[in-house]
Amino acid sequence: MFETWIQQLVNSLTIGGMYTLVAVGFTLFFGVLRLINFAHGEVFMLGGFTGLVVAWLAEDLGIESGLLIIFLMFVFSMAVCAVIGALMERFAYRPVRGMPVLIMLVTSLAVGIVVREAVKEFFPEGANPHAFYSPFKYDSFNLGSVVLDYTQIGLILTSIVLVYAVYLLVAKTWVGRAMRATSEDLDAARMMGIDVDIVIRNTFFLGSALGGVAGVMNGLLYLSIRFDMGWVMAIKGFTAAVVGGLGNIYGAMFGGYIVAAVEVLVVALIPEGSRYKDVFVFLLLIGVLVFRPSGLLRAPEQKVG
Amino acid sequence: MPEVDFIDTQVAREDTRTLAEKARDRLALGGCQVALFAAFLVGIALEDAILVTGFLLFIVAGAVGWGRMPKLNSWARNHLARDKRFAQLVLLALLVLFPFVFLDNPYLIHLGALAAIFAIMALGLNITLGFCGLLDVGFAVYFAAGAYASSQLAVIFDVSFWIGLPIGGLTAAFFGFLVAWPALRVSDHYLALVTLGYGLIMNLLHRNFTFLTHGTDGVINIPPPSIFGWDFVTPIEIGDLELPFQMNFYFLALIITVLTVFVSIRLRDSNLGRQWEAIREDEVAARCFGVNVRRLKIIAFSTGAFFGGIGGAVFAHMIGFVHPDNFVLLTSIMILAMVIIGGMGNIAGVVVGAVALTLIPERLREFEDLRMLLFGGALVLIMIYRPQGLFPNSRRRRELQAEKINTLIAESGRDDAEAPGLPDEVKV
Amino acid sequence: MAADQTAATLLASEALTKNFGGVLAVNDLSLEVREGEITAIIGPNGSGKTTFFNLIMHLYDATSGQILFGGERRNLLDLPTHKINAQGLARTFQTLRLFPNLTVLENVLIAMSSHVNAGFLSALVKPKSLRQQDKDAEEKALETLSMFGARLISMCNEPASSLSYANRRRLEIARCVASQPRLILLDEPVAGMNPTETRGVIEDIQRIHEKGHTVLLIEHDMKLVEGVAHRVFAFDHGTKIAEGSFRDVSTHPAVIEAYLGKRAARH
Repeated sequence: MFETWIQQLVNSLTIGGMYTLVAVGFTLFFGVLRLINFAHGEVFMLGGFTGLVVAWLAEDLGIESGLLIIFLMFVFSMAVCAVIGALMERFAYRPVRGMPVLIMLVTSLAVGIVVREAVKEFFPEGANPHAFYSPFKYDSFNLGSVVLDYTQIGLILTSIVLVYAVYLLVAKTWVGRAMRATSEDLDAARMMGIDVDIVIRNTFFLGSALGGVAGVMNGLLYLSIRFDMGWVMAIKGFTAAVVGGLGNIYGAMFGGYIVAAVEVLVVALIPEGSRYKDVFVFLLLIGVLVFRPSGLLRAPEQKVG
Repeated sequence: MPEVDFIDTQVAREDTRTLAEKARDRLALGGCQVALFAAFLVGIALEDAILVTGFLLFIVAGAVGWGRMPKLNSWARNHLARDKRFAQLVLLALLVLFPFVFLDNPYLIHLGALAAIFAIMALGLNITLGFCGLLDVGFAVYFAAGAYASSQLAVIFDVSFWIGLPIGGLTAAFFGFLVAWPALRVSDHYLALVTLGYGLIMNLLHRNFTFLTHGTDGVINIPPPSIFGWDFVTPIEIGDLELPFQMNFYFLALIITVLTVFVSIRLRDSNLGRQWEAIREDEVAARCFGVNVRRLKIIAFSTGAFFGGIGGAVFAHMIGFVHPDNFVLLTSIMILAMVIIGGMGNIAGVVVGAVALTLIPERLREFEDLRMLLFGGALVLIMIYRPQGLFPNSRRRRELQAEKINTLIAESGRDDAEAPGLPDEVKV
Repeated sequence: MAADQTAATLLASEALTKNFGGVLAVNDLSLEVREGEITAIIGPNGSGKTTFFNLIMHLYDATSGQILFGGERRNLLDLPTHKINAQGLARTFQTLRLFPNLTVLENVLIAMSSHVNAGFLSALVKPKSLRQQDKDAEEKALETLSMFGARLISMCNEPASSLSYANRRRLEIARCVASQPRLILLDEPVAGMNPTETRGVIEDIQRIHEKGHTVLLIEHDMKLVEGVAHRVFAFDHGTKIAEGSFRDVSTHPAVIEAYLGKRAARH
């Protein structure tokens, strides 16, 4: 019994780290643009496919070190996703900046459709699932009676390191300060001499790069990727962002772990839970939106108007 | 007084045209309608991908050109306003004529029926979103509720379609009512997320509550509607002419669409509609002036959902098969896009949007899966370049009593005494 | 401008307190507005004036205290916002809150018709009685608009967003008057207006008053307050620090202190 619980804990930390990386993107975008970037899930998916291409190329080039390949996958998918994210912002979201919620929302849904369909059509065999390259998939070690997976441990550490790096970036650097200032009040930031366009672009760079990392992690963990996997991740990601309080960067950092914990608990405790785990995630989403709209961290705000 | 002239132009004048002038105007108007309709028929009959693409580009060019010609615009608008009834009758006649043009191509008639079904649903969403301003990204829920309720009633309990139809609508209305409760507490992005989550939850339940929905096996063998033993898949024969059975569904859907349009107009022009619009414009101000926001939002959600359910019920009995894949997020986005592209709140625009978004993807079948990519790309471009939709909802001018206004102005000469040219008007 | 001392109390705030997460926006506020008077509330920014209006309309829940209205002394805080207008209160907003895409006429019609229940069935059937009712309402609305001469009525079929700033303020007032309230609350009616326009608004307020409406207004413009107010309340830190005629209040040491800081008051 004890071993299963440890195993569940490790599981929720692994997927929680992934959700967190995606959630940070959602919350960053919402902060600077007041936009729920539904296409962010597709960026995640794109990260996975970039990782796969890197693995193929590495094989062609004869690179054998698994660790090096994983490292290259992370680096390249971050780069590709950062660029794609910035392009999305420049060509789709900037023209509709400040428009009614509905317009921005439909734009991001449509951008998501474009990315997803483009991968489906133009990636070789894009409509089918692809096996992912994961060099350490069978390696594990024993800790007492608990069997631990190297990949999982690696992913947990990676996500923690990255999240901490983002924390430092946002909290300590002037780039992060500009981001926070823009989130707080875009017009005020502009008046203080901050180039808001650049801040927003940087935000998309950062958020999308993290989404790309999550995409690679997902592949390493589940060993298979598909063109339509982005949407599910998008939902988990923005649920995590909402749980932490949309726009609240620090909140998103643990929102992902909460969503993951809910999922793992539902599967563990409820019979046939795996079929309904997403239902519970969505219920969590709705529940938080309705009862604690500023997230679980902050005290409920006064109803105004 | 210059203002008096100004007023005069706004007020619907008595029709002073002679009989000949009237006939000339109507001929011109009707001619334009017939010409447009003919172009439409050619468009949907095209099979070749290149021709279809060319036709679409032609439409886009036409739409852009139309926007650049204000004179033509106002000419059309004036004519439409003057002979509204006439134009409506011509349109109705053309729609009745439509299936007879394609007697040898029943698939097109089927598409026409499908377009009408989506028009019903889009009009439903238009009530929630266009009139009351409530962002509902989970409209497929109501589509599903109507489809499942009426089809399962028919399959399991052998209930007639004519009873299943209103029950389907009411079931959907109940689902609208359900989401209204949490939706009342949130707005904007949060409302979008709540309805989105609602749609996703319901779709998961469609897949997993197999005792209600047969899960991913779907509901099969849904009987077609029937009247006095004659069912809708039996073709009507007139003499030697056998009319394709798709026509029966087409007319069924058309009649319901017309009814939905009628209800939409009545609601829009009523006290209720005005209060909905007030909520859309400024909820706090509306509440301060006595609008019962809670009640009206619930009505908006339920009414919109009702038509979603009606559309779903007709859909189920026409296609004969209902599957959870029909009710995914993409369906909701499609219906949402119909409303936005048409022009939120504009009833005619929404119908055009529904017809366009049903027919165009079907005509692009040659492009196979690329059409979703094209749809996404087109949607992005529309959001950027024409977010208000093809037919933005302009204020409907009321027909006011001109004399009353003029007397009131004449009586209150006070303000006109003020020196002209004062920096009175600070434009914001 | 002698205020009638025997006038009945129309609105009474009793020990009203509003705590925004530790900030006392309104603090133990008690005051009475007399029927038939024009009462002004002055006070520095953040002294709780607009919060007080929002509490009257029950846009916020009060932390404690009550707001009693009319002879029957109903506690407004027991009523949902949408029922308060029907009690006989209407307000304007500091940041204009018209319905921008509704026509000028419709803006007024909303205020007149909303406590008449908007029935679903009657909207569909549109019975004759309703049509007559609509027509009557329209006529009444036009008459209300005519209180500003040709300015609003000549635009009655245009969206409210096409009005000039000053005319939007006028429309807000017309919208209030149309709901035939006993008490009209005006939140900074001349904010952003030039002196000529301000003079016009003073006349407008006096006209509303002559029509029998009691007026309670928030204003920074002392010219206006001096010109119209029978009685003045001065607010600071969410509570009433002085009360009386404009002259009394404007020379009250506590008021000078609130506006100019402690040192100015001492000298």
